[in-house]
Amino acid sequence: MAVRTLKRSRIKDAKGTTIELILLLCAVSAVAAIFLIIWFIFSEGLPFVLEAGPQFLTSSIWLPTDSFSDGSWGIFPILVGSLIVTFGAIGIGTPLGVACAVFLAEIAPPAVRRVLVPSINALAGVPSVVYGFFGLVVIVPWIRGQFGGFGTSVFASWVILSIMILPTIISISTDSIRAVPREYKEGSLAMGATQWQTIRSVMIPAASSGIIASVILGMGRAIGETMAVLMVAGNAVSIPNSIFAPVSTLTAQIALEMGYAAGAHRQALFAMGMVLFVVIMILTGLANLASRRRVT
Amino acid sequence: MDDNVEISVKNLSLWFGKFQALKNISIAIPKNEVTALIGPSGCGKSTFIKTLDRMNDLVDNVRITGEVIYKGRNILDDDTDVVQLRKEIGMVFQKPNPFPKSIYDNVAYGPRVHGIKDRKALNDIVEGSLRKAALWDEVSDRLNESALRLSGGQQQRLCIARLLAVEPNVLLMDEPASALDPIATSKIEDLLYELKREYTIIIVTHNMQQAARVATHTAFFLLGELIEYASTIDLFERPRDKRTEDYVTGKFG
Amino acid sequence: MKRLFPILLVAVLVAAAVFEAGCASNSAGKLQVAGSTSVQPHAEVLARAFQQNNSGTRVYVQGGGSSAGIQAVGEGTAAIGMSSRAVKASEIATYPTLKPVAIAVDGIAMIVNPKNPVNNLTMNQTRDIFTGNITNWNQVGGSDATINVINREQGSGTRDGVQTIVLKGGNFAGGIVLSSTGAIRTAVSQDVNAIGYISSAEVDSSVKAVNIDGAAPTYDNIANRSYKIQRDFFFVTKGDPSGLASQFINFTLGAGGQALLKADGLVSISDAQNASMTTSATK
Ligand SMILES: Nc1ncnc2c1ncn2[C@@H]1O[C@H](COP(=O)(O)OP(=O)(O)O)[C@@H](O)[C@H]1O
Ligand SMILES: [Mg+2]
Repeated sequence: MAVRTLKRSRIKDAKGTTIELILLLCAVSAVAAIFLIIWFIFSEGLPFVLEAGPQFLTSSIWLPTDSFSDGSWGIFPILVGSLIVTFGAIGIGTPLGVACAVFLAEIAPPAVRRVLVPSINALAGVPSVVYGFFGLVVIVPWIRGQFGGFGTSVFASWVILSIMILPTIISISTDSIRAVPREYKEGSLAMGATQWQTIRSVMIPAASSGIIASVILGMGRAIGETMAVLMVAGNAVSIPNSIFAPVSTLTAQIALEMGYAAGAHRQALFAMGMVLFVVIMILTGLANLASRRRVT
Repeated sequence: MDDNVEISVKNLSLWFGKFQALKNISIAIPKNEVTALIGPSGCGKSTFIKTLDRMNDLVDNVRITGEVIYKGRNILDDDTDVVQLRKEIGMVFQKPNPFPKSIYDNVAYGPRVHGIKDRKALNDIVEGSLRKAALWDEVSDRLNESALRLSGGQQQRLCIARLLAVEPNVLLMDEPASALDPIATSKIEDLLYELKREYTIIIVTHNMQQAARVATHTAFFLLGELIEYASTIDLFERPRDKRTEDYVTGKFG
Repeated sequence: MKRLFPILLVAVLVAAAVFEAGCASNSAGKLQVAGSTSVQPHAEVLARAFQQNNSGTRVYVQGGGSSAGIQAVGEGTAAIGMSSRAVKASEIATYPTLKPVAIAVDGIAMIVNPKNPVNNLTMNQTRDIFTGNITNWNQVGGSDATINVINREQGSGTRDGVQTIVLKGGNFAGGIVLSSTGAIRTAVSQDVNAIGYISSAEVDSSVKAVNIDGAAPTYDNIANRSYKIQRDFFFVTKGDPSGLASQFINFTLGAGGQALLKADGLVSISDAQNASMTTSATK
C-alpha cells in the first residue's frame, strides 16, 4: 500500500464544504419559510387590528362584512372559546396521558408495551377529520341524549381534543419517564418506598421537564386544531354559559369563513390568525418558564 | 439461632435465566459489625447483597433457591412485606444516586413516604441523619439547594443520611467509595466506623485495604461461590484456601 | 452550489406559471367554473353531460362560495362564477363588466325533525326564531322544548338568502353553525328540537320541510313564487361569455340543461314566473 501523506485532500475538502452548504441552505430556507409566513400574517392582519382598535379583542359582536364600516368586529367570544377549549382539553388529556405513560413505562409487561406503543404512535397520525367524524356521530349525539341541547358543545370539543392530544402526551411522557436514571428508582425502592410512591415522588418529578414539554406540544395541537373542532364545537360566536353550550374557536372560525371572506372580512381573519399566533407564543413562553422553574 | 447473627443465609443459589450467578451460599452475618465482601469483578457480590433486600425482584427472569433468615423468617418467601423489609435493610449504591431534589427533600424523602408529615419532626430527622452521616456541618446552610450540586463524596454521604432517616437495622453498601477520591473515601470509612455501633453493615469492596481497615469479618467470593468466610485478620493473614491466598496476595483479580 | 438555488427557483416559478395558465385557459377545451357550494353539485351534473356531448372538453367545477366565485371571475382565474345570490353593488363597483345570468330557482327549505309536530310557520315566526325572539317550540304550536337553531356560516349563500328574505337584513342570534348542507340535514335528523335551512333540492325523508305562510317548498310553489324563501342561482361571467363558457351557458339554459337541473330538484328558470331580467344577458 502506498504511503499516506498528511496533506489535506482537495476533493474531500470540497465534499465537506458542499455538504455543509446544503445543510445550511436547508436550515436557512426552513427558517425563512417560517418568517415569511409570520410576516405575511402580520402584514395582512396588523393594519386591520390597528384600524379596529382594542375593541377587536374586547367586543363580543362579530358581524363581518366585506367593507370595514358595515361590520362589527369583536372576537372576544372566539378568543375566550379557544382558551376554554384548549385548557379543558389539556386538563383532561394531561392526567390521562401521564397515567397511560406511567403504565407503559413502569407497569406494562414488555409484550403489552410492544403492542401498545406503536398503536398509540399510529393514533397521532390519524387525520383530524376522522376524529371529528367520530365526535359527530358518537360523542355529539351522546351528549345531546344525556344533557340536552345541541350536543355540539364545549364538552364535545374537550372530549375529542383530549383524545387527539393523548398520543403526543403519552409517547413523549413515556420516553421521558423511561429516561429517568434507574438509580433514582432503585434508591427510592431501596428505602422502602412503594412503587406508587416512587412513581409519584421520584419518577414523575424527575421526568417533569419531558412531561411538560409533551403538554406544551399537546397544547399547541389543541389550540391549532381546526377540522375536528369545527365539526363538534357548534361554532356559535358567543361565550358559552355551560360546558354543554356551543362554542367557537379562532381556528374554526377562520376555516369556516375563509372561503367566502373578501375585503375587510378577509383582513379580519388574518388578524384573528395573528391573535392566535400571539396567544400560542404567550402560552408556550409561560409553559417554558414554568418548566424551567421546576427543574432544580 | 445465635443472638449475634443478624442475617443467616442458607444454601442460597441464584440464576439469571440459565446463568447461575450464586452457587449454594451459606453465611451468617453478625449483628452490629461490619462485614466485607471481596472478590474479583463479576463474582456475584452485588447480586448477593441485592438478594438480602429483595432488589433482585426488579430484574426479569431471576430464580432463587435457598433461605435468607432475618428476624426469624425467610425473607425470600412470597408473603414477605418487601416494603417493610427494605425499610429495615437499606442499600447504598456504588454510584451516588441522590434524587434531583433539594438536600432537605432527599433526606426527608424516606420519612415522608413512611407517613411523617409534621414539619418539626421532619426537621429533627433531617438534621439528625445529616449529623450521623457527618454531612451536617457542610450543608446546614444550604439545605434547599439541589443535591446534584454536591461533590461526589458529599452526595454519597447524603445517600447514607437519606437511608439513616428511615431508621434501618442493616446497611448494605455496594462499593460505596469506588467512585470517590481518597479523601472522600476516608471520610466514608470514618463514618462506617461510627455507624457500626448502631447498625449491621455489609460492604462490598474490591479494595482489600479498605476491607482490612473497616471490617471485622470478610467473605471472599469467586465465580458465584463463597470460597472463604472468616474474621478479617484470619482471612488476610491465615487464608485456609489457596484461591483466597492468591487473591489477597494479589496473584490474580 | 450558489448558482443552483436561483435556477431551481426560476424552474419552479415557470412550472407554476405554465400550470396556472393551463388551468385558466378556455381555448384548450378546458373550462373553470367556481363559486357557490349550493350551485356546485348542480353544475357538476351539467358539466358531466356537457363533457359527454363535447368530447375533448373538460369542465372543472370548484366550490369556495359565491363571493369567491364572483371574485375569481372578476380576477380572470375562472371563466364562470357560480352564485346563489345576486351580484352585489360593491362587486359590480370592483368588476364593472360582470354579467350574471339566472339558471334556475332554488327554494330554501326550513327543515325540522320528522318527529316534530310543527308543520307550519309564518314568515314572521321564522324570522323570530332565527333572531332569537322565539326560543320555545310551544310558542309556535309545538311541544315545550327549547328550539335548537342551526345556522350556516358567515358568507354562505344559503345563510345570505335567509338573512335577506326571512330576516329582512336583521341579524341571526343564537344557535350553532355548521358548514354544509349535509351536516345540517344530519344534525336536524338526529335532534327533535332542531331547525335548520337547506336548499329545497336537498330535502330528503330524514327531515321534514315546514310550510311557510301555508306554502310548502314544492316545485310549483317555488315556480309560481308562492313559497317565498327562494333565490335564483346565477352563472356570472366577465363581459359577455365567449367560447366554451358561452357554449356551457347555452347548454345550461337550453332544454337539455334545464331538464337536468329539474331532475336535480331545482326549478327550471323557464318555468319560473317573472324570471330575473338578467336572463337577457345571453344571446
Ligand atoms: N441482570 C442480570 N442479568 C444477567 N446477568 C447478570 C445480571 N446482573 C448480573 N449478572 C451477572 O451475574 C454475575 C455477577 O454479577 P455481579 O453480582 O454484578 O458481580 P460483582 O458485583 O461481584 O462484580 C456477572 O457474571 C454478571 O454478568
Ligand atoms: Mg458489583
